[in-house]
Amino acid sequence: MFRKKKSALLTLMMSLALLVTACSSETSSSPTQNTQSRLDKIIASKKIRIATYADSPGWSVLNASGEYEGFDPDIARKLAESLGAEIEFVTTDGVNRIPLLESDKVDVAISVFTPTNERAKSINFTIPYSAAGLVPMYPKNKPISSWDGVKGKKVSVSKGSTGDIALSKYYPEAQLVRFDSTADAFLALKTGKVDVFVEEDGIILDLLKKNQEFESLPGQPFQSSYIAMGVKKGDQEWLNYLNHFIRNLNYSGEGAELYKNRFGVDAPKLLTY
Amino acid sequence: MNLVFHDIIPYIPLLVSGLGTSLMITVICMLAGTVLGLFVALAKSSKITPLRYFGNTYIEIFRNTPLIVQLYLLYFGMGQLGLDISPLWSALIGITINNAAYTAEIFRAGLSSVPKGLYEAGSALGMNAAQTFRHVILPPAFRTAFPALTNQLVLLFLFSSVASIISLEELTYQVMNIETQTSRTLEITLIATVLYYGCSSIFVYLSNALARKVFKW
Amino acid sequence: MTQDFGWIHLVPLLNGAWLTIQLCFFSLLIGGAIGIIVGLGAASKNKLANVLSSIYIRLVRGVPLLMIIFLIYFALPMLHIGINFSKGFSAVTALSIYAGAYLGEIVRGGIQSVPKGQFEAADALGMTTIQKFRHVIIPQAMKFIIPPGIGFFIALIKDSSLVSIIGYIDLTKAGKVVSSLTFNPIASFLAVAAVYFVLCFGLSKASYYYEKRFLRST
Repeated sequence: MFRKKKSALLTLMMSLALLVTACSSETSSSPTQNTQSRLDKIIASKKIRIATYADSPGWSVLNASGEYEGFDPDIARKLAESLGAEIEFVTTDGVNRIPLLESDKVDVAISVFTPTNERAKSINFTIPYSAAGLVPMYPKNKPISSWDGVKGKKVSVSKGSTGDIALSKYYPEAQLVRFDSTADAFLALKTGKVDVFVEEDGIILDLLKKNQEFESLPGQPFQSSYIAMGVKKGDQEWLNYLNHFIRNLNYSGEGAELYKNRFGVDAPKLLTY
Repeated sequence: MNLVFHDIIPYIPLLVSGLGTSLMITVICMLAGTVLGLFVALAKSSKITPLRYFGNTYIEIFRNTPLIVQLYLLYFGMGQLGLDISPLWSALIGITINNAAYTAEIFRAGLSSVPKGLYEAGSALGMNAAQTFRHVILPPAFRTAFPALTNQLVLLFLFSSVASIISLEELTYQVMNIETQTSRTLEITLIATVLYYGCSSIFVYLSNALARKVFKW
Repeated sequence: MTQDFGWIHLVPLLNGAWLTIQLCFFSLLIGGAIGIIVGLGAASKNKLANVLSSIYIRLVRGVPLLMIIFLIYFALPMLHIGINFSKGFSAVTALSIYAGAYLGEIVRGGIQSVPKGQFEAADALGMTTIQKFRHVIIPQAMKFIIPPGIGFFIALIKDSSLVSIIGYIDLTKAGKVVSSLTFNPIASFLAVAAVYFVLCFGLSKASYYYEKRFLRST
C-alpha cells in the first residue's frame, strides 16, 4: 500500500515537473534573429511547405486521386510558381494550424484563415487575399426572413470556421451547434437536428442546387471577416514577400478569377491597397 | 514558447460544465454498460444457440468498428430515418452499447475463471440455476473481472471525448470551442491533459477503494 | 463542386487504411519491446525497476493518446532545444510510448498470473534469472498475454486515428475527407466502418486461434 502511494506521489511530481519546464521555457525563448529568412530558404531549396485543409469544401479538399483541390490550393500553386518552388502540402484542421506554424512544420498556412485579433497575438497574418461571405440555409417550410431570424434558433456550423467565429461574435443569441466538418453541419440541417446552417455562399449555392427543399436569403452575403495567410512570428522578410504577392494577385484580378472558378459566385470585394 | 493562461480564465465555467457532462456520461454509461455487458456475456456463454450467436455477433460488431461511426449512425443515421435523438441521448445510448461489448468480454473471462465445481456445489445445495449464478458464481467472477472493469472505466472516460463529433457539449467540445475563441492551443491542450489525467487517477483511486471495501482486498 | 459517393472514393479510404496498418505495425513492434521491459520491471522485486516501471505505466495510461501525439510533434519543437521530429517519427514514437504502457501492464499481469510455485521450482533447479524467464515463466505467461495483447492491438488500430491531429490522413480522416467531397457522411462512414471491421475482425479471429492453441498446448 505504501509503495502504491509513493509511486502515485512520484507520478504527480513528474507531471508537475513537466508542466514547470513547459512554463519556464517562456523566459528562454527570445526571438531568434540570427536565423535565415524562410524566403531565402525556399528559394535555395526550391521547396515550400504549405498547410491547407483536406476537408473544407470549395476552399480545399483532397480529391479521390489524392490531389488538393479548391481555392486555397489554387492560390498556393500560384505562390509556389512565383517562387519557383515545389509544394509540399501539409494537411491541417482548425486545431493544429497555429501549432504547425509555431513548431515550424510549415512555411505558410493557406487554410481559410480568419485573422482575428486573438490569433494575431500568436502568429503573423498577411494582408487578406479573400473574405468570408456567409449565408444561412434553412428549410423552405421553416424560413427566416433576415439574419436576425437566427436569434434563438439552433444553428449548425463547422468548428472554428468563419461561420463559427462570426456568429459567436455578432449573433451570440443564436444557439450554435458546432460540428467537426462542413459536411456534418449540413447533415445536421438535413436530418432536422438544427433550424439553420451557416456557411460560405459558394458552398451553400452548390448545395442548394442538389437539395431543393432548402433555400437561402437573397441579396448580399454577410461579409464577416477577411481571409489571410498565416506565418510564424518574427520573419518580416517572408511576410513582406507574401504581402507583395497577395497585392499583385488582388490588383490583377487573378485572385477574383480563381475565386469565381471555384465557388461559381463573384469574389467578395476587398479593399484595394 | 509563450504560455498565457489568463485568456482562458473567462471560459472556466464552460470547462467545468464540459467536464461535468463528460463525468456524467462516463458514470452512467459504465453502470448501464456493465449490466448490459453481463447479459451479453451470459448470452455468449449460453447453451442456447441463437442466444450464443446473438452474443457473439454483438461483441464482434461493436468491438471491431470505431465508436465514432456508431455515434454517427445513431445521431445522424436515425435522424435521416426520421427518429430524432438528442446528442446527449445518442451519446448515452451509443457509448453504453459500445461499452457493453467490452465489459461482456471482461465478464466472459471472469466467468470462465470460476471453477466448474462451484456450479455443481450450487446445485448440490439445492439452488436453481439463477440462484447458483447469483449467489455462487457471480461474486468470484465479478471479483476477477474488477481490475479489468476499472481499466475499462478509464478508457471509457478518455474515449467519451468522441461524443464531441455529434456536438455533445462535453469536455473536448468545450476545449475546441475555447481554442477557437482564444487561439491558446497549447495552453488549453495542457489544461485538458491535466483534467483528463486528474479525473482518470481519481477514477482509479475510487475504484480501488471500492474494491478494498467490497472484496476486502 | 460536390460529387456523388461511388467506388472511386474507396481509393482514399484504402490508402488511409494502409497508413493505419503501417503505423500500427511499427508501433506494436517498438511498443511491444517497451512493454516487455516495463512489464518485467513492474513485476520484478527490484525496487528501482519496479517504481520506474510503475510510474511509466501510470503516467502514460492516464493521459489521452491525443495529448501524447500533440506534445511530441508540436510542443517539443516549441521548447527551442533543437528538437523537431518528422510526422512519421512523432506518430510512431507516440503510439509506441502509448502501446508500451498498456502492453507493459498486460505483461506484468501475465507474469503475476504464473503460480509462485513455478518461480520457486525454477530457482530450486538452479536456473539463472534469464533461464527461469526464458524456459519457465514466459511460456506460461504467454497465454495470459496474447489474448489481451491482440485485444489491445485491435484497440490501437482504432485509436491510431488520432494521428490526424498532426496532418496524417488515416482511415478515419479519409472518411472525413470523402464525406466533404460527397456531402454524404453516412455512406462515407459506413464504408469506413466496413474497412475497420475487416481489419479488426481478422485480428480478433487470429486472437481466438492463438488463445485456443496456447490453452491446448499448456
